Amino acid sequence: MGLRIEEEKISNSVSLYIFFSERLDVESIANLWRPCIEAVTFKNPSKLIVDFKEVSYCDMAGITLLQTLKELQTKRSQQANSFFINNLNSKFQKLLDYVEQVSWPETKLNLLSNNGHTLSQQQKLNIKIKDQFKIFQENKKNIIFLGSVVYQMFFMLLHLKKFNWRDFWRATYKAGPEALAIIALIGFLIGLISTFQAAPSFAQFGAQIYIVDLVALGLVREMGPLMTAVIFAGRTASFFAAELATMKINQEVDALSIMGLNTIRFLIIPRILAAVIVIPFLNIFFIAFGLLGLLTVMTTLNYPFDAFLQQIQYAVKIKDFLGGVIKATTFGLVIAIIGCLYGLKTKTGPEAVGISTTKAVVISLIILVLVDGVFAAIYYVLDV
Amino acid sequence: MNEIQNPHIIKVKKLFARYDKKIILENIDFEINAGEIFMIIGGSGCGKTTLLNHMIGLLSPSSGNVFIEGEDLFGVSEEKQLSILRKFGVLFQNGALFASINVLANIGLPLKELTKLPEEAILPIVQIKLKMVGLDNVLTLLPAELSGGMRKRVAVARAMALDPKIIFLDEPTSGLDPVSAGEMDTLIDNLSKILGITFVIISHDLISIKKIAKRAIFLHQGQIVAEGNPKEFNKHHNLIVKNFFNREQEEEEEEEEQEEVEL
Repeated sequence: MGLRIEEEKISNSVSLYIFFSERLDVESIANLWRPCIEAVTFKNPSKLIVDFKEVSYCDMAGITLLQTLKELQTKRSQQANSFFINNLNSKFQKLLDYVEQVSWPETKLNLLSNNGHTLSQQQKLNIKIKDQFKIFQENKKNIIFLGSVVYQMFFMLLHLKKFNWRDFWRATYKAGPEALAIIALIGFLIGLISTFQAAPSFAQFGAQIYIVDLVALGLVREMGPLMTAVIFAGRTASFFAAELATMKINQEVDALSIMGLNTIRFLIIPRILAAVIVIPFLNIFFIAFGLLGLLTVMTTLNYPFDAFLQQIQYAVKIKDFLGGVIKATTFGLVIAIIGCLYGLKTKTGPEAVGISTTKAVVISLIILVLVDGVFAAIYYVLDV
Repeated sequence: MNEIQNPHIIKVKKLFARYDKKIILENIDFEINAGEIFMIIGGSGCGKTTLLNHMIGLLSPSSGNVFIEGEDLFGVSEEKQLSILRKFGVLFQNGALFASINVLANIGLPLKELTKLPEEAILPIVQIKLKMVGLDNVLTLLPAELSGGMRKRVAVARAMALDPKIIFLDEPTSGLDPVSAGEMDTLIDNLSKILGITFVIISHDLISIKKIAKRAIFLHQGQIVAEGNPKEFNKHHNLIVKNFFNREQEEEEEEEEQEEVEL
């Protein structure tokens, strides 16, 4: 190790010699740092002499150690003349001088003063109170957003020429055709599994044919819209939120509004419309594959295809189907609005994109269940 | 000792880069001496950043090789390549600071991960590096809370954190005000003189090119069209190089004329 520490006692005062040797770079000072600091701290010398005679190489890291020792020593002894450097060659001297004299003209930027930890208790309390009001302000912002979405939607119907068709087709493609595979897979499996689960219980009463009623009605009225919406929230709400959030932090959204384009009209409406148009088809697709799953199990239970068809016609009325489609469309609308809203609300930094995306999906799912409850109540009252 | 044996700290040999069928770099061949300030000059889209990315191992060439202190950068194991890359400090064009951690953690990251420095030693090292780039009291701020110029300087401080032998700077003075740009030039000049650090700088800032560059290459459409002392580039036989360097002079002359008129 390139370090030797010697002590010299003259009457009451202690002089400490630190001899460095060989290289003083980041690698080597990693080992030297603690011994040096500890020596100075415990020996409590009145004089500290650092010797550079055997040092062959020294860079900024070495100078940092030197500076730290100097600061420590002058602070401890509280005397000006308590730190010496011996045998410092001209090259290292230059470096030391340079470090000591660097300070650019506009260095003293006092940015810490309003950065949290220098705040008084009163100020902290004030901020907390303000935070409470922020929730109301957030809600106010959300309602304003919702209002302008509705307004722009009607505006768009009157001015179709100004519609951003490019974004609309892209969003439609991303939300619709690209989702078909996963919708089909999950629909098929849900139909298959729920039939499979129900079969033994129904068999106990010899009522296997009513499995078709249960599963088909369940798929058309409830499972279809809800599962499609859950997949839609996972795929598309996150896609909208992440895309808009990235645009926001790259200042693309700012650029658009500077050009005089309404961001909601230009970016949000095409996406919402795309979602609303696409989701009924996804829902139908999901139900179709769910029924295919049901059929698969029923066939293995030796029920003829004709009986299956007849039973479905008997069990599922057109109002059930339409009710499900309307529900799915509403889900799509809600999910798209929430995805876009959280995308646009993004603050700065890559972390913000993650936060927005998470929020978009989580809030979509919560609202989804609430809306589903509202629909259940409405359909009950209307006797649909 | 190494430096005497190997005066060329970086050697780029017959480097070709293709993207699909488009040739981006064509037969790039030059050497950089230890301790000098070397500039890569050229207009936008001429392949400067692509060349830099090849020199720091982010892209691999279609053919040709880069030698760092005589060692191959390509065609070696990943472990070996990483150990060579540790000799570098790099400033990317827009800083590339980690946005989720503060300035102290940003600069301290290489110190913490790559050395055995004790925790308490990191702060003074970071502070000195920040002082050198002219920043103070920014340790606890996040990159998003800094201005563009400050972010660039923090990124330079991070590139210097491990006291590398070679520092690559991609447009170090862009986005800085003239005073800070001048200080940046002085810093580069001093570090090269005092510590013997080799600088490879991509720039089209004519003032800093004239002020600090010892040697330079001029790239145009992926080829080296001029090599040598940039102070002589304004008399170069190639018209592109000549025009690039004479634009500044024309402006100066115009300004002088205007001043004369005002007087």
